[in-house]
Amino acid sequence: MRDYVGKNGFAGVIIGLSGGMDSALVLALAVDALGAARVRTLMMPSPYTADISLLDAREMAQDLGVRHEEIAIEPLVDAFAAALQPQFVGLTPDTTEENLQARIRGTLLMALSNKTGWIVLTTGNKSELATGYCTLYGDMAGGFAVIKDVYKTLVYRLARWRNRRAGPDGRAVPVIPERIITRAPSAELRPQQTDQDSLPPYEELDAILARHVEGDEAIDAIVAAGHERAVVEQVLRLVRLGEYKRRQAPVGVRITPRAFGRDWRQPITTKFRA
Amino acid sequence: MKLVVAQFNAVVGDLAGNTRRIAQIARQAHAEGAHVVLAPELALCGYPPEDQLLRPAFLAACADALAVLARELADCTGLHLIVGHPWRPAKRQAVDDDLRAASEWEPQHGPMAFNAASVIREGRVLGTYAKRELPNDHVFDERRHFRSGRDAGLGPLVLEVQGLRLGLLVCEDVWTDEPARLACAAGAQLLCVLNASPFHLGKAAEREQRMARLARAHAVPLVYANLVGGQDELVFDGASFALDAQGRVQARAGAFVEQSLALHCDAAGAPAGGVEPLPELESQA
Repeated sequence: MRDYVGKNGFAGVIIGLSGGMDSALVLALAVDALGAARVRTLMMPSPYTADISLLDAREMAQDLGVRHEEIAIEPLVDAFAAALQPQFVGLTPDTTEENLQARIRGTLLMALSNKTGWIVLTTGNKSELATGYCTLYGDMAGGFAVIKDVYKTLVYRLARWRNRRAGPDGRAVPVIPERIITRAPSAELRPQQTDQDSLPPYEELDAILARHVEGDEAIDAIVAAGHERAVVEQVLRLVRLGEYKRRQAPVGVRITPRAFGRDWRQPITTKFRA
Repeated sequence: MKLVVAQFNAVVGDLAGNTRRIAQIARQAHAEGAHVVLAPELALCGYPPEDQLLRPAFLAACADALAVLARELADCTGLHLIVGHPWRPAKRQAVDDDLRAASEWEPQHGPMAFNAASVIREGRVLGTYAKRELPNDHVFDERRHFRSGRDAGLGPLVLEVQGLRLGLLVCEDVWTDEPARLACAAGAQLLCVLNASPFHLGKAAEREQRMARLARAHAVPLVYANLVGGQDELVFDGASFALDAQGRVQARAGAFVEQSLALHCDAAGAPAGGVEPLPELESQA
């Protein structure tokens, strides 16, 4: 990250904080790599944002000494809803409204990037990118995807690992608030949402993904390794459907034998199922 | 000898659909008296299947699809279907010494399959040719995905139909000299080239010029079968054609359309058929 930012001449980085695990790890990484003075954070709460998300993000940014700002997106959500109302009349709310929130945040982050010349670090992990559990032009909007090749289970491990260690400045206190690591992961795009409404538990998901993405294993082989067929089929289907999103995702660091980058050259258009 | 070029819109990964489509075209051609049907490069799985070629399950499914295609056309007496497909030789496949040597050497990492063309007749695979020249420039990634027939020590494939010897070649093979030279040395009187040649402005004319040089250099006629249709960022424009040994265009299929291009070849292999015009630049764009 330091090289990507430095070699391409960016003065600093901007991170959209959600109060969740991924953006917290990216913030910790950014401060370790660049120093707090070259990092700023933006929290963009909606009515679905839990109070503890706001508090935890604020606490972490303050502890690390980065410039932290908040822009509530509710008025923007309302403005979009009003503009779209004639087209959406009679249609039930669905992921469209959820994605709009993510896209409003993406637009705000990119505006800040545009104005300051600082690059937006996206915060999506490999499990999300693999399954398409992310929003194009929303949380995928940005210049560098720091943890795009880090599975969610490894995200947690890295967070705990980082908290056990002193940073480059010798600071020994845990930099990531404990509650961010222990609470259930949620996109907070609708009430009481958790990631596991849409995805299998991350331990199971990541094990399946590693076999398929890095091991080129098909459904039968993954089932033979002890996973439930219906789950494997669902995961591989999501991987396939997410290809068009991955092709539009920012570049990021490769840490596994096969990242979603130069080493993953799948067609978007394919009828093959396995 | 009557040959039909199956210029059709293959769908990447739709093995069942492509198989059905090829069988349908071949059956129709057979009913109209064709001895040979020439389908394009990787027609069975579509082009380019990209990293799906690194998955054993995909290669196995391609082998199954080829077997289905052979069975499907078993009752078409005297018909030779030449079709492009990925080919991972089976360990215990009954093959000649060259092929056995090739199949026993399979790298632990990297590509497992050849970019191949098989001849199918009456339910059997008569022979399989492995592309020798793998392009890795521009939009191509074939060194990543395929083993080269040359590197594996495989040779040309020449097949006699109605007293005429056909030499099989695949796409990039004919943009260099050696594969055609070997096929001619092995007795080929007509080169049958399977292609998945992507479009850019002026590409069809470029192809014909290059192939004309090749035909003249070896004094051999040539049939060029190309895919048609869109695949992600690529467009295949068809415009399959046939040249005589002087490099003159004797038949051409339309650009950007599916078409079965029927050719009559005389005893020396010289082809004749309908000639569609090449579209002007604005129309191509």
